[in-house]
Formats: sequence, C-alpha cells, structure tokens
Amino acid sequence: MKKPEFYVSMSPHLHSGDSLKKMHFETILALFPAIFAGWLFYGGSALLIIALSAVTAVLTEFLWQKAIGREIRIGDGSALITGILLGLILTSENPWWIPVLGAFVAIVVGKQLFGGLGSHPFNSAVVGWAFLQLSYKGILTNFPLPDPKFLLQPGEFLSDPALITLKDSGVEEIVDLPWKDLFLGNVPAEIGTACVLAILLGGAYLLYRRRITWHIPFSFIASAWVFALIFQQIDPETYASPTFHILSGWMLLGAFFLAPEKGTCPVTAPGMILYGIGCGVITMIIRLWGSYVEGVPFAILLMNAATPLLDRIKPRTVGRIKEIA
Amino acid sequence: MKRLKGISFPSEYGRFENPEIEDLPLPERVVVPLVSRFGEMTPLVSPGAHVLAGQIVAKGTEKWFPPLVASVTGRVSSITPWPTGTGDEGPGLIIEPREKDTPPRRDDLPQKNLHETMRWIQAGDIREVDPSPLPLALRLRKPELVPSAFIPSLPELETSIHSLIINGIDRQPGIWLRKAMIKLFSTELIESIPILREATGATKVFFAVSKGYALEDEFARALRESGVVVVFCPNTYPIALEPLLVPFLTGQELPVNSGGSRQFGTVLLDVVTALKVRAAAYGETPSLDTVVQFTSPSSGLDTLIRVREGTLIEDILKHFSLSEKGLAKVLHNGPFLGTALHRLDVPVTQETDSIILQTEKEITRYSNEPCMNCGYCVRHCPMKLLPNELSKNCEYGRFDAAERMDLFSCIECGICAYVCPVNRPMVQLIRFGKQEIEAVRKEA
Repeated sequence: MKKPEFYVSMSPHLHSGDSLKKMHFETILALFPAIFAGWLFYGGSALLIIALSAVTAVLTEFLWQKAIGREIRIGDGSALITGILLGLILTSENPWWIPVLGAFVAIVVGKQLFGGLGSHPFNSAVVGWAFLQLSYKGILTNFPLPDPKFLLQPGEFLSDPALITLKDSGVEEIVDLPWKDLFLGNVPAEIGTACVLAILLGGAYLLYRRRITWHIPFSFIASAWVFALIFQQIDPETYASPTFHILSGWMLLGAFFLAPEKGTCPVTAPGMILYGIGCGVITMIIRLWGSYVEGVPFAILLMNAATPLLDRIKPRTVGRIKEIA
Repeated sequence: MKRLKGISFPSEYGRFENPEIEDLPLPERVVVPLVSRFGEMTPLVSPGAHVLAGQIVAKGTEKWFPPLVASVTGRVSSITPWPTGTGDEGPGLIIEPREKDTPPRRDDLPQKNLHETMRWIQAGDIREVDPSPLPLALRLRKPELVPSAFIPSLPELETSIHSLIINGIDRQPGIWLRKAMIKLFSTELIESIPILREATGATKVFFAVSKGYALEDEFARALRESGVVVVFCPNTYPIALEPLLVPFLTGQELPVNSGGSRQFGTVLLDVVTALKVRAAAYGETPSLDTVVQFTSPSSGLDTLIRVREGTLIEDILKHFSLSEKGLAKVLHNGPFLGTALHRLDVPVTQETDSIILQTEKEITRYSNEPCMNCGYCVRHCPMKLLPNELSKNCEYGRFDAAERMDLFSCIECGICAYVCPVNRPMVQLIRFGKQEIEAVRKEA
C-alpha cells in the first residue's frame, strides 16, 4: 500500500469565493452615495462625525478582542459598517464625543457582549443610537439647516425635520411640501437620511448584488405605506399622506440598510416578509401616536427581538409530503 | 412549472463545440471492482483463469442485480482488496489484457422480441452515474415485463410507468459530458427511444436539456417525430438530480428516502445510459468501455476519453504525460458531488463521469468560523431546508433537533457550503450529522 499523497475532503470541492470582506466592502460601497450626500448638504462636519464614529467602532472592536483574547477580526469590515451607519444616523452638529460614545456602546453593548458578529440579536448601530437618544436627547435634536444644491433654497419650506414639523404643527404645515425637497434632501435631517435618492441608489446596488433580497425593504415600505394610507383616508386632516411618511425620516435607510442587517433579521422568505411588515407597522404606530418622533429605530429593535421566533416559520421542505405511495 | 432554487451557472457551451473522444490504448492491467452500489459480488472466475471481453465474471447477491462483465480479454491475475471511486476499498478483480480483443457482437439483429431485448439489457451490466436504488434493467420494465418472482420483494415495480425522462443535463457545474454525448451520438439516441418506450410502456417521453443548448435541427426534428417532449430546463444546479428534475417535469414530489421515482410511475435515465441501453439492444456489450471527462485546469486539459472499464487513473495520467508532482487533489465525479481520492490507482468504472485534477492553488479550504446567519444558504437551498440551523445543530451535537428539521431531506448538493461567505463546512456538517444518527441507529 502506498501512503496517501493527496488531499482528501468531503465535497463540495469548490467555493464561490465570497467572503465577509467582499460582502462588507459592497455594503460600504452602497453607503457611499449617502455619505456623499451628507457631505454635500452638511459639509465637512458630517464627514468628521462619520469618521469619528467609524474609527471608534473599529478601534473598540480591536481593543475588545485583544482584551478578551479573541482573534482580531476588524479586517472583515463589520465594525466599520456599524461605525459608518451610526455616523449616518446622527446629525452633523454634535460634540465630538457623541459619535465616539455611541460607537463604543454600539460595539461593546450592541455586539461584542453577545459574542460578536452573527451572535448579536440587535442591530448594533441602532443600539448605539438608542443609547445616545435616551441619554442625550437634547443634543441629538439639534438639526442644522442643509446647504442644498440642485437650485433648492435652504429652509424654503421647512426649517425643522419633516417629522418634527408634522408632530409639532400638524398636517397643514407639510401638506404642500414638494416631494422633490424630501427626495433630494432639502430638509433638516440626519447625515445619512437626508437624501432619499442617495439611499435608493445604495439600496438598488445591494439588491443588484443580491446582498439583500427584496423581501424586507419591500414589505417594510409597502406595509408602512398602506398603514399610513388607511389612516389618511379615514382622516386627512390629522394624518399625513403615506408618501410623505415614506420619504421622510429614517424610513428608507432603515428599510435598505438597518433592518436587513445580517444576523439580526430572519432568513426565510415568509419570516423576512413578516419582519418587514412588523417593522413598517410599528414604525407607523410610533410615528402616528407615539411620543417619539421617529419610529424606525424602535421598530427595528422590536422586530430584531422577534427574529428568533420568525425564523421558526420555514417553507415546507421539498419532498415533505404526507401520502407515500 | 415551479421556480427553482439553487445556483445559476454559466452554460459551458464553448467548451464542446466540436467534441472529440480520444481512445486510450489498452492498459497493462484493469481492475474491475467486485463491489458496487448494489453490494458485494461473488466472483465466478478464479485467479489464473482466462476471460473474454464481455464474459460474465461475477454475480450479485440478489438475482436482479446486474452481473459483472469483464471489459478486456486476458488473464485474471488475482483478486485483492483495491480502492474504489467512492474512497472506500473492496475486492477487485485484476485482469491483465493479453492481446487486442474484438468485443463480441451478436448477429441476429435487430432483435424483435422484447423479452430477449430485456434479457440483453439485463446481461449488459449497465451501471449509472446517478445513484438509483433500483438497477436500470429492472427500473425500465413495465409491470408486464417484471418476472413475477421479483414482485414480492420489489413492490414498486407494480406501478405502471407514465413518464420516461431522458436526462441530457449535466449533473453539476464544470461537467459537460452529457451535452457532448448528445452532440456526438444523436442518431443513436434517437434509436434508443423506441426501445425505451417499448420497455417502459411510457405514454410521455421527456428529453431534458439545459436552456440555451442548441439542438441540431435534424435531431430536434427526429425527436419531435418520435413524439418526445423536449424541455429546456434552467441552468440551475442541481436541476439534473432526480429529487428536483422529476418534480420539475412531472409535478410529482419525491418523499424523503422514498427510493426513487419509479414507484410514482416515472423512469429517469441519463443520455449516457440511454445510449448503453441502445447498444445492448443492438447486440453490443455496453459495459466494456466508458467515456469520461478528464479535466486538469492547470495543464489546460479538458477533454473526453474512452477507456476500458477498470482502467486506473494513473494510466490515464501516464497517457497524457502528466506527472503527479504538484497534484493536490483528484476529484472523482465532479466538484460538487464527487469524492476526493487519496491515490491514483483507482479504477474508472461506468459509475465515473469525470476525473478532475486540482493543484494546490485550486483547492478550496473550509474554516470553522461561527455562522453569522446571513441566510445565503437558506436562499439557495433547493430542498428549502435551513442549512444554517442544520449545520449548527450538527456541529453542536444536537442531532435530534437537526432531524426534526428534516436533516434527511438534504440531498447533499453542496450549495450551502459553496455560497457561505464565512466558508463554513455546511454540507459536511450535515453529512456528519446523518452519519452519526445512522451509526446510533445501527447500534440500537
């Protein structure tokens, strides 16, 4: 008998070549339009916020993994994405320690305490934001006026974020707000949520690369739209139009980037659709009747908690049929 | 027709515009394994005996198992344990070819008697690459042709056959043997259809090919004239496998461990097997040689070769003057469904469709990273399982939980491991779980 000379392993003997690095790189690429729009409308301070948050996130992950003796995995890019996303959901006028603190909490509490990538139940960037929101509410509601391009006038229609205006002054204030303003970003907002167009570009890229599927974004947006439409039909004096709700606030950033974060959302098609519907409906409930202005982050956190349950809904296995001849 | 999950792969048509088959010279020795999918076989000859090509040299434990036919004329030198293509070891009949042999041919052709044809097919020792629990010569028979002695132990043969599927789709990405065989042997394929139709009594005959495959006009017309429905199936792996192809064409889902589609009145066979059936019915011995795809990307080889059954892989390498140096992995039967062999003296049999050589650089390595629940495997699983959960359960020894999640429905196509962004050995863990459960059952 000759001694074995070749590698043996079980099939398959091929791999698609996909990796976490590629996946996260493409996600960062998809976030670029939003980052660019943030810089265009809010200037260099927006980039500074994103950079502070991103660097802190990566650094925190590095130090944490070093401290508890784990393999250093900052190279896979997941901490970077958490940092960038956190930066995008903050406003550009914040003291420097806000993004730093938020990113630290996002990584440590939102991710590493649960065991790191894939084990954390909640979207870590939203956890960081929620911590800041609960602790420093006054600072976070400091919305600067954008410096809009595309022949739009700053503050022409709104000088406060659209949803805050709606909450404070009622439907009359926003009823003749042109959708172009919301779509392109001529309203005060967070860095990454200002320009709907930029988010759509990034989302389309993710869909094209099949990094996300249509299930969560579509069911999220569609359910919110339908929910808002029902109440607008009942009482147009009190409730804003559904399209206004879709185009304002975190809705699209949430639907394309925050809600479908890998590991925190369900993986089966029916689970993802229910998750999206849950996100959409809870968002609208908070927006219409809640004390908070923006419902998206809380909707996502709540549905994140429901993910293990939704994961139990699976399609019927092929060949799982009752009658056997 | 339902939407199919799986992975799309580019059609590899450019690779066989003008397929050619290279005949390998007779090797110094051939090794015919005495063990097959249908168990071990009892040799009918002893060392030292002279055998003729086409002579029956071993028989199976059950009388409906295909017999074993010597592929060369020569002397049986010994019967010794020998490695097989599945990575196991079993007794092998070593034959040293003596001289140039002429394969036997029957003269009383064409055979009109159906029973006689069936006997030839049965004696022809036809084996398939696709695993089927029923030997082909039995699967093909309509109930009237099944000897009544078989019925009690094989009740599935009592069902009458409504559909016959001739599968021209290759089993997995990277393999193009069947596509080339259609091109090379279209006349013979047409000739096989009446034989198959008569044997099965099927009312519907499907011919499945990949979408985009250009059938030659003459061939397409001949198929149409013989009443065959040509179905162009998506270029989605693993559509060519029985649990997916049969539901796709007939709508009949196959339950877990149901033992194939024959009991539901469907006979599935691939084009290579159909050609062998035709050869047997036309008086040839189909099991003497076998056409295999031989691929070595590093040396630019991607070709079809015809070898005597039992030719060792090392002899094929020698023929192409390839050295063992730098060779890291030898794949028997493809990158997704095949086995990695640990040595080169493994015989090529009819159950072989391809030999792929990989160098160190081309090897895929898997890692023990934790799952991050991205759901790519769930998205692609053709059986609609949750490979993420299954692999985790198997990894942590929760085999009962895995079984409750339909572990045994997995057809081990390997897509989950292929798409996993963290390189987890998904299907490997699933297979491990199945083996553990089966081992415990065996003990009990």
